[in-house]
Amino acid sequence: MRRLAIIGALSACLLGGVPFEAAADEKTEKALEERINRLEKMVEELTRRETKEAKEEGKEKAPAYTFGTTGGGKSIYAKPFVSSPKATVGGYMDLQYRLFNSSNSTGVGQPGTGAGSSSFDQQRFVPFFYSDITDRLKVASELEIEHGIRSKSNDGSGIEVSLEFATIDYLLREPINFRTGIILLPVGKFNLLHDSPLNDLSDRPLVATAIIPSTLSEAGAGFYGTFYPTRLSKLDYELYVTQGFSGYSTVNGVPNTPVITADNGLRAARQRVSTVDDGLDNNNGKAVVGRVAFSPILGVEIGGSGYFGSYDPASKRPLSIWAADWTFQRGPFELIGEAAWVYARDNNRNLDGTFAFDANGRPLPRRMDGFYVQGNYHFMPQFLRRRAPTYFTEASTFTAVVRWDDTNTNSELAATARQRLTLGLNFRPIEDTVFKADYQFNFEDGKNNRIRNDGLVLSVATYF
Amino acid sequence: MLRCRAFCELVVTTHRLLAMFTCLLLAGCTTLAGKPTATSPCPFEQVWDTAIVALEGVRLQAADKAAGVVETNWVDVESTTQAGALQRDVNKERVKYVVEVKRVGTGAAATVLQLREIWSPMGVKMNQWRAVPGNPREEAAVAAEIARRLKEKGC
Repeated sequence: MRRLAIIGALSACLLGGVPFEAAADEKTEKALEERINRLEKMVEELTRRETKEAKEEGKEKAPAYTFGTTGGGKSIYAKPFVSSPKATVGGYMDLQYRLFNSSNSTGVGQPGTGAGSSSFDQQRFVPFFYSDITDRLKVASELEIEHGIRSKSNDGSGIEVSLEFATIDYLLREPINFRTGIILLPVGKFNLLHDSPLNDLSDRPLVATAIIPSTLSEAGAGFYGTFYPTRLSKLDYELYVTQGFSGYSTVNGVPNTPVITADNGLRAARQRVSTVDDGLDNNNGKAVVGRVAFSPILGVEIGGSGYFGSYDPASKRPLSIWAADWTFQRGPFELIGEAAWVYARDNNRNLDGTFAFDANGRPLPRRMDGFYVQGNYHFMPQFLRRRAPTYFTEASTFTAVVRWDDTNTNSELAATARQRLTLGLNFRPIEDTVFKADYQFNFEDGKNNRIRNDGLVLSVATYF
Repeated sequence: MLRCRAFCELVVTTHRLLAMFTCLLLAGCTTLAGKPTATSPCPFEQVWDTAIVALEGVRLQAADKAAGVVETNWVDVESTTQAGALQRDVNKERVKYVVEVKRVGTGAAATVLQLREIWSPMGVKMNQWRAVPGNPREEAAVAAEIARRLKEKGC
């Protein structure tokens, strides 16, 4: 208030000090106008600062939405304290303890326990950077450091550090926006929401590591947007042209070795792990990938997505992935899931046309498929809130989870099928931090006792 | 025979998918039943005008008098959530109001719906606005404001 009084006095002096004769003068008028504008800006700036200071001191609370007696309902139209910073740096990390019956694999791309059957694993440390360059121009990125405790990876080439996504968005209109960079591919929904703190179980679904090898991202460009077809419905889409899979790599000095196998699914064919120079393409063919998600009402969403590209050096062999995903939420209940199908034409043949087999003598896969269905129930016992209100706040919640996974990384064989039943319970003190406890029953080819690899996973994950 | 059977299965599957999609689409057209409503003996035109005036200051995206629907643009509002373990004030929220004016006997009723979306720069959440439930208190406040203005008009 003191500052405002000073400014008021200052402006009165300035205005009062102008000679009357000069008022008629156009130049003086202009100068006066400029001064007034400057003063107005200063007053605005001071008011803003004082409000901010008051807020920080807790003197003034942000107004709840109300219509004042004057009617205008200004609180919804103003942007109280919506002062977004130009750039945000943050990240997420997780840590898990795994206790299994054995060190046997629990699935393609699933975390292991090393040489023993139990292990602490700091799997992901992911700093991210977001920048509002202008109202229309945004840069977003996530830098993943996997198993960051190591100074060397298994092959001695260094630790796994890579950009999960790094995009430049140019916003045109709500229904159409341009995006380019390293893009998180919209194949299924899980790949788009793969961050550990978002997920209610510690391990990713089998279909999201073997069939859709998340985190799946490729360099490319395209468009995305949102439509609102009816009052309550929403339709999101993404459509990009990207680099494409590289189905053949140099392995142990042998060029053109097929890397789409039942043991690895599509993981070793991703651009992120491609051995082609600088992760560049192994052919001239580019891929097209897109997803459409329709939400008729809040809490219901059905998504369909597809990926189509070529994976061989001559761009003669197409690879397609089709996926469907669903989310149903009602009250504390949630049912989510995803199904995916892969077709890699002629992957069962070498580039010279002879039949191709893996190290176990099995033909290489042409088709893969899988799905998961997960039920969540969110709850918070009221007695906990009453007894320890600082630990169990309004933002805290428990979630009970059950998930069934089913995949086959070579649909033409039964031996490559895997299933998993996971039971879990997690606690979120706040939405962005989660403590999880899961128990996995792992099945190979429908049998739970073939490989003893059931186990307990305890983990914590948080955004910061 | 096998081909015919496969074709029949394909037709049945396609029809099921179409039926499901139609149901989903129609679900999006459901009415605003249960939402806060300002009912008034004032004629439709007066309620319509009042609904628009009550939303003054917000840019309207659509005002279809024949359908009786007023829809505002998205408006940024204060976020009700904080981001990450550090509880930073970097999340954004936006709301949009849909007011449906219907003739009820000789009078009319204005029903208010608030659509709300949130955005966070936390990880993959930075890529999209997510729909969340609207605030019922705020919906009620807009309906109450329309009712107050209509009452002032004395009908």
